[in-house]
Amino acid sequence: MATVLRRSPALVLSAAATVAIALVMPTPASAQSEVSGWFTGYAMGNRYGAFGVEVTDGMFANHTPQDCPGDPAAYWAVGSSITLVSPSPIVEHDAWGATTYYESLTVEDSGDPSCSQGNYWADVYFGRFKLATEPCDCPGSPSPGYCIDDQAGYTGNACNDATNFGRAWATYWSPP
Amino acid sequence: MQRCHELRTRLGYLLVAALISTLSACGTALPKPTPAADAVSVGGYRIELVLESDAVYGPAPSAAWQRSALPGLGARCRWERVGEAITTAWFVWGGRQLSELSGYTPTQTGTHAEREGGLPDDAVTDSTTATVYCGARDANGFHLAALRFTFHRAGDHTDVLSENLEGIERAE
Repeated sequence: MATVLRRSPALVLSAAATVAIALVMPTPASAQSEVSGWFTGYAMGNRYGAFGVEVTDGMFANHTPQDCPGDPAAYWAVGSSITLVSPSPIVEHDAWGATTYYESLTVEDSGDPSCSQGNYWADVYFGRFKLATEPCDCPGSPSPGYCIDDQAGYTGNACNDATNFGRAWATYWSPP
Repeated sequence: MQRCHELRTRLGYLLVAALISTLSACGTALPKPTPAADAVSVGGYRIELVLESDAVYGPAPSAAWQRSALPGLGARCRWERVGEAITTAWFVWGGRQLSELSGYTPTQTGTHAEREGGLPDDAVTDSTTATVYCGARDANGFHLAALRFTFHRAGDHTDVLSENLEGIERAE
């Protein structure tokens, strides 16, 4: 004998409501969010950043929760990455003069203890290359820093790259 | 009563005239900067390039973006794509030598880019003149605003005496 399942009207309505809610409000796949803040640049400085990692191109510094407890970005895990939206990519160089394009950046350092740059600030690292005759320093970084001399006839300077970058308003995806 | 009023009015005119005369005699102030246009339209972009007087700018500031060849003087540049959508535009900035700072992909109509900071060393031509460039590079070449200005360096700040902004198209 076939069993006939009887559905109560209330159950049908409840199931329909659940489906409707699921369609209207999809569950977020991750906690990523699109945020905006000032981007600045830095260069030279200490070989290892505030968290003991060697600082290289493609990394950035942001606030710490101790210094800037009101900045949500200050709580992002060290080593997590952001994905650039606008601008994207950011142009950097290495000691051989090769141009590199970064569409994502990894947080491995900290800075701006006075929180002067506002929430979601990122200080993009532009490297430590320079001419052998130039000093290893750059405004805002510990001096003298750890530097690498230009190779293969390249005459660039990472501090000039950071200076040229200036301060730009940027939009990006937070770490997942 | 009417006489008193006239006397007061005349006295007022005399005081104002004396004040103007005294200020004119002291006339050692630098001439006011010639107002420049804030923006130019070139190659599908509207480019705004203005000088910024701010004590944070100088040769030895607290952050790289504030380093400037001229004390107390920086610049702010903002461009907006007003032409049709294109794949990518690159933000270009500099003095005699231009640098590509970042890309905007895609560049839609209305896409905008902004940068502020100090002036590069090679923007300064001599002790009184400088030229800074800002704009975009795309598949059709460079689309730039050139801001030429004369200045007077005065200790920890720089007085701008005259400015001229013009649009420049340059092939790749």
